[in-house]
Amino acid sequence: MKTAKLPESAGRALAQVLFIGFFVFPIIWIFLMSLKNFRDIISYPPKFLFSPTLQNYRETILGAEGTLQAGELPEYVRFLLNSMIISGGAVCLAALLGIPAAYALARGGLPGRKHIAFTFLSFRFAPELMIILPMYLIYTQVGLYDTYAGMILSHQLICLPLVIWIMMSFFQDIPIEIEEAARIDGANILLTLRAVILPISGPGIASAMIIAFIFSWNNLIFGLVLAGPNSRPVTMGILQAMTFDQIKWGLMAAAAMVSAVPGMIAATYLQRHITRGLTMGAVR
Amino acid sequence: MKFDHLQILKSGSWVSAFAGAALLGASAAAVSQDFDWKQQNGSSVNALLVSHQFVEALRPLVPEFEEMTGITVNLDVLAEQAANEKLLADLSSRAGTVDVFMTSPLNNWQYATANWLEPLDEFIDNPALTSPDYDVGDFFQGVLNSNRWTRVPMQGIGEGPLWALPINSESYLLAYRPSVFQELGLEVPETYDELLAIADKLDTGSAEFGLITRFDKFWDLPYLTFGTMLQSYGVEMIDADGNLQICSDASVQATDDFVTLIKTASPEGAGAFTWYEALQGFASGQYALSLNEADLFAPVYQDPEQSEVSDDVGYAPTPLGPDGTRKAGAWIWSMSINAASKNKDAAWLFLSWVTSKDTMIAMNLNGNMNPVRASAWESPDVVAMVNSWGETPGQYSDVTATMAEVAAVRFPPHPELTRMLDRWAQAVQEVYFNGTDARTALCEAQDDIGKMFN
Amino acid sequence: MSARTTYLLLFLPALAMLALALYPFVQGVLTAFSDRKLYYDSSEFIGFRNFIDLFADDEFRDSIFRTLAFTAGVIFVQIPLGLGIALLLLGQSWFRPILRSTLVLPLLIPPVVAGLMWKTMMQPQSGILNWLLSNVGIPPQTWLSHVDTALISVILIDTWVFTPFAALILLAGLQSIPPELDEAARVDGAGALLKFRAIQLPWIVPFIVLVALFRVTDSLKSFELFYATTRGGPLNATRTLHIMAYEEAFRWSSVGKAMAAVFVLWLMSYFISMFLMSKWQRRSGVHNENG
Repeated sequence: MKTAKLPESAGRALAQVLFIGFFVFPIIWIFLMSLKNFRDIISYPPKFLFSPTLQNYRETILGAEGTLQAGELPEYVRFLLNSMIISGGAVCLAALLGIPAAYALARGGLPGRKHIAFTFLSFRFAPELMIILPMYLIYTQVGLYDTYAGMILSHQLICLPLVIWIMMSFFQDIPIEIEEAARIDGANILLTLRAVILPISGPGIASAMIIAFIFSWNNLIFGLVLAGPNSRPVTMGILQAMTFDQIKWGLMAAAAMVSAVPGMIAATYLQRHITRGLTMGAVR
Repeated sequence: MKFDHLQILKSGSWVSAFAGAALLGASAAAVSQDFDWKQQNGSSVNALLVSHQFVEALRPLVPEFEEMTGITVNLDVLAEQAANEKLLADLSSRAGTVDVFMTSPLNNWQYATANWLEPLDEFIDNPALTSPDYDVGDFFQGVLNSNRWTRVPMQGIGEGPLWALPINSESYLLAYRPSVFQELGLEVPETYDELLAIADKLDTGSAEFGLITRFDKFWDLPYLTFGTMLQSYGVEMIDADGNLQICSDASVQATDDFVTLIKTASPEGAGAFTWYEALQGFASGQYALSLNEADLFAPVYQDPEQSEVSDDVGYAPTPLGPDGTRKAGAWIWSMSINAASKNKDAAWLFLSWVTSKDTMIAMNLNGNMNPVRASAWESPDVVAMVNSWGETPGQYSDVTATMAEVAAVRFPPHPELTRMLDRWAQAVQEVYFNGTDARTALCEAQDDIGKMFN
Repeated sequence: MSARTTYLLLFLPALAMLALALYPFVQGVLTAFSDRKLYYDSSEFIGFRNFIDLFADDEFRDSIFRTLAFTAGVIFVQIPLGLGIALLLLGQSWFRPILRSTLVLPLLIPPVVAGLMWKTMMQPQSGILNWLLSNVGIPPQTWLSHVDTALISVILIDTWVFTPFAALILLAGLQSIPPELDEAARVDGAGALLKFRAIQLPWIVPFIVLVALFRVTDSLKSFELFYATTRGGPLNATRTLHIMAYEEAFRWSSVGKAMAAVFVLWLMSYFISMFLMSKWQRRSGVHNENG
């Protein structure tokens, strides 16, 4: 950076400002909204100065006054826990199944590997609308409806193709000589994968997992149709702010802010892995 | 294709005539303690509800029911669209996961056709299942009977099995800003002609824009809000002889006037306003007048926490049509039992408790406006709460009472009605956005709709 | 790696996908060839009737066009933008981690909620966007509320929501460039532009195709943003294939026709991705030689 010419760094700075403006401003606006009451939210011109209230957060997290029964978790907290179990479980399962599969596709030398890989991806093409009604029928019949297992399974449709395809791209970039060295040392395939491949594909794995987690976390349709009161995820919790006559913007904003926290933590945690993966790559 | 209108009267001689003939009116004297509320002890009921004031009013009361009956109630509360989708998945698969749910006559014409609904008459008539103090006669009979249908398309509304019990009814009114009208020296319009005459003046005062009303492209437009205007112009979807009236002279007139009103008095973008924008826009104080919007928005307008106009809002009946007639649309929230439910008796106990007199009165006080039972409407506490609303004391009550007399479901019962009315709404949008001649657009819609009856 | 191990590694994921998707998918396809209405028990096989009806309908052809226009808009905006952002975030300095965390933010708001929030921000009379524009002297825009601007506005929202996805993958791709290559460029004294063209771009082509594959297939079936903002309106300005199918199925119970429309959508995804795949194959072939 130090050697960069001045116009170039000025251009960079401007780009960074624009980038932050476009991507961050709406978040800030949603955050401000979460601190306003309905009257301040709908007033025009828009209010940047107002007396902030934590009422929206209180109501989001603890529920409306008087609705919480003793010994019961507030609804929204249960939604959050549900989502953590579902998305966490879904990403772990997808990584467990998907990383070896991606490796096999990248290195297996199968004759039709492109077609197999494409078939995996093609499961994503089906608009959820196409499969959701038959899925509901099956789920209610085999007892998967409104269970964590059922939700984790259904989220494989989101996570697995993502993990397989992202990881496949990364595995293909790893020079084959590294593995061959390990193979000569007599390591079997899973050991090679674990000891050699995984450490250097850190950035890939971290990105794939962040992305899969986020897509799973944000999913609406499975949570709407296949989940019931026992396993309903947090997206449905946020949408509870939509009533028949109005959208309770403050509540929705607060709920969205709270819902973003786990993803933020996961992303920060995995970001560290990205950097670690980088350094390891450098060491090699 | 004969079609009987169903008046949704809340008061007047019509109601009392029905009340006299009520099924269980006479048995009210029986001792309620004899009734076995514990008969379904240990079972559970899943209720799929739409996020609505009704539900917020109900929620705190549910533990009482659970304690009284030993039945566990799982309330599943979703936004309106989401609830609809979820319900369709459950009903159409006959999974029976949902036992009772919120619905309305328009939706039920589809669900009843599909055999998804459990008829309720047998439950009501069975003294072992219905508490003696239930008193069906206490419901506004017009509202109650809008949930009856013979399941013969295009006719038999108000007759045949009872598919649902009403829990809340909604009609339409004008809400205006007294200060703005005073400032401009304008009278609140009593007819659409008067409204058209002042339309271009409404935004010349301290209100930034003239009027607001929903104008999206879905069935609620011709069914409810613009429907209220249409009906006052003498337009009903089908006339007494069974002919479609969508592109009649009166309908063309009403459509032209409506589009003129929007173009004159509403800001650009009004062609995409849903009820969310309608409520929020008026509550934000940017508009002088809210045209034919839901009476249930009033609690928000009146709440200083939620509205900029809480001390500056008046209500008036919807304007009169060219012939001096006033008619209005009606939306009746109801609850039905899923025919595939495995706990129908427990579901019925819950439904009959929700719609009982005591629960209804308690809910009205908790904020479920517009009662569907006479006893709740007349409850002094409810009267006192509503009395302060409006420019003058009692204004809101008077207006809703006026509207109740003219509010009705004036549409033919048919499972394809949602598609037909969506098509109708599209024609109105074409006039607004594309400048299509109203008669051309409406007659095309009428042709398309005619084909949907088969 | 032996063929046996390879198949073994692929077996479970394949099984999971098949178990989840195969039956519903076949069911959906069968329904597309029937006159099924949700509210009638019986339905009949009617061959290609639904498809014939659909293609005879101007509105259906328009909605195919809208779907393609939306997808094209998404791709041509988001991939260059995503690439630019990835380059911006590349490298080590104290504020890069902050920028990277910033990048994740839009992804953490569920699209349906993001759609609702943007809708209020774009509200022509009371929205913050027009207010901001008015402060710099730009006349108010109609955004989502007018037939001419609605689709572009949804593309803009989609760009906010999903460009970070593109940028994240491209960033990871850029980070996976072996340091030796970077080193070589630096020794040669290559400027940023040259370095980009000679090293970074060729290296990340497979990642670009990867992003394109996901963004294309997801945009073709994009639903939640439309559902939250315009629901196909005003008039039919944003009525894409998926929204149309949704209306047929969930508003009007006409699942046969809905599934036919959705099946067409699936075929579109299939063939467009196939086309992209062929690019990917070729490019990554070149790539492997480099590696």
